[in-house]
Amino acid sequence: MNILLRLMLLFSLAFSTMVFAQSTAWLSSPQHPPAQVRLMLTGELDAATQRLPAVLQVKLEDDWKTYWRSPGEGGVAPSIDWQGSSNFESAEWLWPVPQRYSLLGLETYGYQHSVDFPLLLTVASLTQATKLQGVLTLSTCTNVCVLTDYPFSLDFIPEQLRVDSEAMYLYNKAKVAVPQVVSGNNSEFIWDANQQRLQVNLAKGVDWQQPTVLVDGDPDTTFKLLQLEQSANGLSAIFNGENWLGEPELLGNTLKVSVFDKQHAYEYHATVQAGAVMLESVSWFKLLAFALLGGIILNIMPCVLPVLGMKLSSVIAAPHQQQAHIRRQFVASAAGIVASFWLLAGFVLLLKFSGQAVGWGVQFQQPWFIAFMVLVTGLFAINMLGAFDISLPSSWQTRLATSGDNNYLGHFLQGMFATLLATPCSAPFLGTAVAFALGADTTSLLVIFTALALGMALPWLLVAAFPRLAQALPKPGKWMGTVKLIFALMLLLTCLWLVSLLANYVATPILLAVVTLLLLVFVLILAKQHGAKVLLISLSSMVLLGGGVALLGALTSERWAKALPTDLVWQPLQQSNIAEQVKQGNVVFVDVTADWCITCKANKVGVILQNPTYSLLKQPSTRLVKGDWTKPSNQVSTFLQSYQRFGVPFNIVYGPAAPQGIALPVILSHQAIEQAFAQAAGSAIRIQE
Amino acid sequence: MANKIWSAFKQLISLLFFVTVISIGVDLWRSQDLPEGQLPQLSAQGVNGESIDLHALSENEPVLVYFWGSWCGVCNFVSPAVNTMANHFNVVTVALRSGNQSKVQAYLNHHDYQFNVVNDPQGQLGSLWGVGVTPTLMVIKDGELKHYTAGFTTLPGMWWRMLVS
Repeated sequence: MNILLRLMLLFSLAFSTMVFAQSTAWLSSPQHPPAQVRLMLTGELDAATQRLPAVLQVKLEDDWKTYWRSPGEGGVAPSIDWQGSSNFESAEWLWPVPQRYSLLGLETYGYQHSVDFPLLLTVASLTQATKLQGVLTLSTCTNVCVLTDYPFSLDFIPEQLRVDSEAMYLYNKAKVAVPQVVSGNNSEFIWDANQQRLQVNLAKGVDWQQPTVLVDGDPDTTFKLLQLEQSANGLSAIFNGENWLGEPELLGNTLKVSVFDKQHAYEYHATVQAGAVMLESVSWFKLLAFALLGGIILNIMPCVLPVLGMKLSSVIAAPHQQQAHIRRQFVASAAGIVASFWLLAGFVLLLKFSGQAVGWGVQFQQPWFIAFMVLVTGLFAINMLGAFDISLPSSWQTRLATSGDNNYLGHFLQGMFATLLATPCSAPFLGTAVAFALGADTTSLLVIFTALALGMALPWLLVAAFPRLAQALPKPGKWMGTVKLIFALMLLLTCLWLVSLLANYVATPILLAVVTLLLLVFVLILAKQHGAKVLLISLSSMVLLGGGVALLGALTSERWAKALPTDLVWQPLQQSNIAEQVKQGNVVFVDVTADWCITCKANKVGVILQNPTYSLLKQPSTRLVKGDWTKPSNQVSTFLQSYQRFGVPFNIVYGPAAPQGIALPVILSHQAIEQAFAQAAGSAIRIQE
Repeated sequence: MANKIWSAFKQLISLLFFVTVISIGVDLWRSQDLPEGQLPQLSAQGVNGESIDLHALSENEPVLVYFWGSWCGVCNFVSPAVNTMANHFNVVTVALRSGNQSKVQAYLNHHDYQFNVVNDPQGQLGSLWGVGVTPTLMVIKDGELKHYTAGFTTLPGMWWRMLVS
């Protein structure tokens, strides 16, 4: 009986939808199977405004995308032509916040996978038979673009609509993602017609976290963000305005500015006024000086030292070289450094054009790059022992062993190699220059990278300019063998460090095998080249040295004797909600780091895990967030870029008095952290008073 | 380690192979609506008022036919190459559903494109030719379709297709 009743009900429902359609089925076009659309009326109606809420659903397969109302530099927004409708007045289309997509440097705004658009349809009469007939034109793109038409037709009488709970749910869910329109005089739009720049000033109201700011409202004019600043007075953004039909005429028009982040989404409307827009100019002199300084600092990165040592020992080993010869050798190395930086610049440009996140040292996020560097450092270390002078065929000899000899190609490669080893870390000065370069246009990027290269090559160029410097070095003797041995050991250590980085990608037994093999080969060659006696001496001196360091450490300071604390609880950046934590009155310390970043390690061992910083971080009101950049991560890259940083380490402190965060210097100090903590917590304490 | 590099290399090769196979497959799928046998007529007036007759143009020399749209982001990368091709070969382009004559003209001016354009605001030519996807490139010689491809194509790719036709 019960079942029969249900069947009848089901039948009557099915029947009623046939005569009285308030939703279309999923519509698709045989010419374009990856896209499907559906229009549903929720069944509610607002008697006062005669408006019916509806939801337009779009489902897209794979990486097909459709567009926002202002699609950016390509694409076109979906639209409906309502011709053929009766008892229909107008439709208001609401747009959920879009995603930003970048294709070969072109920026577009739209939606992938699926999107639901809330629509408000106004009818002429609530009691009359209504026909909604029209054609939806949907533009979808992957690496090709398709414009597809979906004709649809719905017949109903507004008064007799049933409430469709599924459609209602979808409508309300979609509506949440639509920015709330803010009216009032809390925004100011200034158009500089000479420079074709628009400045948007929004009064303080919302604590934005990495907001996206979009301007639209003038058909066919695209606005590209040039500068975004948040201050105590609010948010200020400068855009470049371009219209492909001619010069944009914006004065007196009303534009819309959409601002959204993970928590909030608002849309500000205001009339455009005339005015002058001043873009904060960059000081090229300062930037170039920073790039040069940063380049010089790269020379003292721990991994570059052995390469420098290799160079010096090759000069000492041949004391009677002609000055011109030495000059050419060092110029070749400098050229290698410059070439390497250009290579890096090319790599960064490639990433940029393919729409991927860019950063400093990102090549260390690629396991094949690390593997290659392991191979090269390993070969260099063994070469330093003089292995290839004897055991390899002569053709190999010339190719490999000459990297320390008279062949200029070898010197060139040495320079390239030194650069690649120098890049895993950001350093003071370097960070500022790189941050500017990565965010700037192609020419500026090349100029800054060249300046960095020249900075790093400066010591080498110095020797090239005054070859006597090299000749002033002590005469070769028996001590040379010892020095070479030390450099070989340093290179071996570098190589082992690189192998340890591979632990993120390769199983441990394989790595252990590689390390064992490496050590075995090294020891064997050492024995063969220098005799069992030297092997014994160097091994025992290594043990002695290790023991000595340990003893010294144990004696000098008790904190060194203690194992470093490991009990700090870090939350991954990807899963953290910084704004929420700050709202609850906590201070949030964010550490963006990578395994391959040596400066990060130094910060951790030297500052973060030491008192007084360590106790600050252990306080119950402190939340710790870690962004791991060891492997490519879009979220971490986006986080870095929102603070104009493109490399690690990066540390920032948030608190009730500093919801936008206080960025810390690249090289941390207890003092800087304490100050930032006090400042970030500041107003919370004052409010309590 | 060597094994890992070797397997990565093999993966790359197989990836390239599949990308090629899939892209050929996708091209075939997209071209299924293409007119078979006799190609439709394409004699129309260009945006600049010049008369364009595809069949006459393709009698002895290959003609590059390019379907694009002002709404198509990828076309921004293909159009400059077509513009260069237009200096060396016969090129006929069709602007699919890109608005009225003056809008298309403004678009061409803005991008500084010199190639001739047949405007197809309603997409009628497109459906007659079975082309709904932009960018689409065809090479036509003696009234016959020699090559067909959709999506991003480089300048050397176009050049090569014209030379072998």
